[in-house]
Amino acid sequence: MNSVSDTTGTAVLPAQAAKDTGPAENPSGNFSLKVLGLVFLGYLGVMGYFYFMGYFSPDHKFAITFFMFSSMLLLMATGLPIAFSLSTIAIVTALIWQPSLVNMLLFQFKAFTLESGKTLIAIPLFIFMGFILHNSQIAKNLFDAVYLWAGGLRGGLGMGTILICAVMAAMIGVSSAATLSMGIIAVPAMLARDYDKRLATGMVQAGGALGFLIPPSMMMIMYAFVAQESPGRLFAAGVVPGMMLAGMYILYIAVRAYLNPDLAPALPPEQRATTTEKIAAIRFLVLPGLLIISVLGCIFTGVTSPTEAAAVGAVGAMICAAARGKMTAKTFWDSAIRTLNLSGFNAFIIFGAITFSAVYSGLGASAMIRETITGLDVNPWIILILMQLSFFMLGMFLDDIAILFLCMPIYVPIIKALGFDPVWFAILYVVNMQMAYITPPYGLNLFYMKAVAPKEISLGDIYRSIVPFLGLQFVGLVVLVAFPQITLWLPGLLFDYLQMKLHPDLLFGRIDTILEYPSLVKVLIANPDLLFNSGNFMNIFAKAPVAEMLSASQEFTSYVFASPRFSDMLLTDTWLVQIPEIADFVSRSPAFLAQHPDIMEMLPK
Amino acid sequence: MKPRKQWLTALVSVIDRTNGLIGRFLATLVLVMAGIMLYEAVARHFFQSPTAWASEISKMVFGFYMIWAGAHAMLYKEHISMDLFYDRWTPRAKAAMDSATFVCFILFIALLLQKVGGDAAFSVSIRETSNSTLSQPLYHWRASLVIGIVLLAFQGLAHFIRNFWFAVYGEELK
Repeated sequence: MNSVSDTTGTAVLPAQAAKDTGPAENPSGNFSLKVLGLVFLGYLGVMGYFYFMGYFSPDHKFAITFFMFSSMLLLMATGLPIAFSLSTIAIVTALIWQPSLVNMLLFQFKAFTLESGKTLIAIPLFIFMGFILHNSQIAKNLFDAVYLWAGGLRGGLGMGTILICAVMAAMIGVSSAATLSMGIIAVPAMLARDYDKRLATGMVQAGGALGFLIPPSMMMIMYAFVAQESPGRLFAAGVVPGMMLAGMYILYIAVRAYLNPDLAPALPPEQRATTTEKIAAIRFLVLPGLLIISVLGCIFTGVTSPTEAAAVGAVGAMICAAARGKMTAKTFWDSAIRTLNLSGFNAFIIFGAITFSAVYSGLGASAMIRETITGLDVNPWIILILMQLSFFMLGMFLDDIAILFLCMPIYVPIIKALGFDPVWFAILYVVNMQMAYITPPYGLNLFYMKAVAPKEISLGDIYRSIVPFLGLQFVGLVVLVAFPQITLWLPGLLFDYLQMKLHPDLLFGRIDTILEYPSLVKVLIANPDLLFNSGNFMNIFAKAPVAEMLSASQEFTSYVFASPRFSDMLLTDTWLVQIPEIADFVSRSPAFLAQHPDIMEMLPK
Repeated sequence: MKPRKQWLTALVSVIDRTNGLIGRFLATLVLVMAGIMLYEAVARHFFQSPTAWASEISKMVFGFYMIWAGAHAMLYKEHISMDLFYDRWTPRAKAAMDSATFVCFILFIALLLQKVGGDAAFSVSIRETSNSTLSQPLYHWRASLVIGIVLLAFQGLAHFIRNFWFAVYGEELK
């Protein structure tokens, strides 16, 4: 490790540094080796049993499932990187059951390197943006503003820290940047003001995890890729749940600080800011505000695709850093090298996981699971809850990206078959992964916190600090499961309503949504030409409620009847008049029929 | 033993340095990707002239960047692993276990190289072009990805040599 740092002269990522400084000589080391050895013996026993029972045949999907997942976990326990564990097990499974499936390596490699780039190109851009903003110390200014504004409140710095985490989450698509920045800036500052150390570290880890929920979000880009959903819609779905969780954390801190002022004391009066200082501090919000507006604005108004918005964000972040005089060569190289490393890690973990799940599907096991589950005569909600439980369990041991690429190809079709909304499911997954981020043994935010926490904070403190926030996240998850409209309200408004108002030609792909938002019909009434241009006239009239609303409008009907295109259309495609809705519509205007006797004759009697 | 150690040390450090240098070049590609996508967004939105090439070129740069990044991430030990057990072992036990699991890594890399290399060789032999309207050559690019995997294999080998030496002799290879 040291030789590596020496040759390149660049700092390693704190997560790694944290691992290196971990307990090296530990009496539990021998014990854990023994446990692993016993688990391995047990594993060999089960495999031997499978062998003698003849389960190593393509018909035993359960044996395949058990073999793949247990071998994967066992191999990962040896410390082999997750990415290579996944690929190795995929290959070994293919070699045992169906050697031709080894070609999945090639198919998935080709698909990943070329086709996935359309969506996944946002990954390096979001990571880069996050590191640039982290290195430009934008969080420090935000924290200064909070210090001036909220310092006088009990728990004010804490509540402000959550707010900053939410603001950073809205700028950055990854969660590490906020955790690192706030761990470096906010935690020592709060400790210096006699904050309880567990409260201070816990809130930073939980707040940092908001990064994946509040758009833009790298995780949602990946989900969009796997589930073939619109990234913009997922982004919109994350806004309200993200603000809800941030609100819950703030409320929790406020209540704790109110009940016990020693936990999070207010600043003494002589340290509080004057009104002029407070007003001057507003300038710190200008740059982050502009960045958020430009990135999210580009996505939600449809000016750019979410992936292009990532490019806007990356360039915007550099401009922000330059405006603050922090865009130095060191900032650039440090950010670019870290981005490269994280991208390489992501690339191979995605590749490993998609190969793994392709082999699993190729052996017919995921179809078996899907049929079994959809064939079960149980309440769909129980299946949904079991899936969430599986996410949580896997999240303790596995990387979130690996879970996404492993489980979603299996889960999303089931979710759709059960009639749930995949966008809503994505948000539940992301909230679940937030819990995974702060849950030991494998919690990325724990690693980051360990790496940057001041000396007086022990590992035990960090582990214990997350408990209340884990509880809050769980409550949030339950609320989101119980009330899907919290999640789905905003994407519906933005994508089904506003974007169609802005781009009326999209209406025809989404006739069903007109029923949900009756005022959209007005768009159609105002642009009757769209009806003809789309070549979709019949589809619209076949939806009786829409036809009713349209024909109720005097303006619309008179336009349609006066248009020569309408009569031409009916005369060319004579079958149109046979449709009851259209016949009904036409017979309402005797004047029109009198003008076109041919059409009158075609009308069904 | 001495000359062998020097030889191995030289090999390991050459691999480290090479990947480190390549990483410097690769790291700048993130700007290229951002630039292409931004250019396309601006050209399409403000000048109503979407480009034909931006989407495909950016996808190719992406694939190249991600695969070549693997070796550099390996250099920095950035391929994260589960440390539930691993963290508790002595450095020597870690090195021994890493040497043992190198077999898995090599199995993966060897098969990947065989499959992807064979495909790239075929791509070069037919002078493959993309099947879009642009139809620009793809085969150089396919071949370049194979080199990325080779770099990853070498970096894995360098770590293996280091770990194996430490596991056997109990001293760092410097």
